[in-house]
Amino acid sequence: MNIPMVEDSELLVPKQKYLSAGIHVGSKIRTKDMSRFIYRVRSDGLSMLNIKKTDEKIRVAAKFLARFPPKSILAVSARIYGFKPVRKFAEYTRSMSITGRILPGTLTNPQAPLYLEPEVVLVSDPRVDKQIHDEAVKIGLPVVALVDADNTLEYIDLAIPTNNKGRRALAFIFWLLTREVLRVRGDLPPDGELPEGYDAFATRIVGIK
Amino acid sequence: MSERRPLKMDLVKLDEELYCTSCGRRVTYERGVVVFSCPNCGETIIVRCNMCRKHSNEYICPNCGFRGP
Ligand SMILES: [Zn+2]
Ligand SMILES: [Zn+2]
Repeated sequence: MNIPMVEDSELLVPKQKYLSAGIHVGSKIRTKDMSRFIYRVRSDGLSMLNIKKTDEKIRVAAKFLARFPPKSILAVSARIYGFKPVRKFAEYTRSMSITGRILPGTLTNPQAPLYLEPEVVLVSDPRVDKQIHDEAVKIGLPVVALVDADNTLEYIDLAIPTNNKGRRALAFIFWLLTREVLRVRGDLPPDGELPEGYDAFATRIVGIK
Repeated sequence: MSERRPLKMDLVKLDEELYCTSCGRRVTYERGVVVFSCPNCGETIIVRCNMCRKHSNEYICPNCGFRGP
């Protein structure tokens, strides 16, 4: 088994949904920090992340983010497959977002072309989103991060273990986090669903068969 | 644009002494320090010193037992 024994009723979504999005499929490279989130190592070397912990952290992250004014949350991804998920998350939760390259000074220099004043930052990968992560640390903002087996937890205040590279995985995890934030805020009923499935959060691939 | 109000100003008074939730050391407002309400229960203030954050040392909420990061 690639996942721990867990009943669907204990999870936010049935485990099959996590599995089909590849949430549990972590990288081959593993850091010591991430060992607490790895369930086992598959024979091909890929790290199987513990989806029970992913589920638990999504719940906690949603509660945490929901305590901030929507406009003071900044969601970021410099990874192409993260663009659409982050924009969708921001649209539904009414947060700020930046996708793509971050200009230096975005959080630290009021004279920067795009100067933002968030109170909390959500990054899709601390390594890829290093620029904004560094700036958030510099000005004392808490950092929530999606972390894969190859990330460290350095300067991360709340970690959500997940495949943070795959197109479907990023779509799914942001879709789930969006739904939970809206449920905690009361914008959706406790068992309410978003009007779109997670496919709507996925980056479309054009021109490749 | 509104004036910048770092979160920690809202959470702690300026004359309050801060102690790192992980290591217990007294911290000042140096770079790398962060203050936030417990992600899980929201009832307590978590303080993380620069070193504990750098070394990703665990913090435990004294109220609900949540272990971060
Ligand atoms: Zn400390
Ligand atoms: Zn707590």
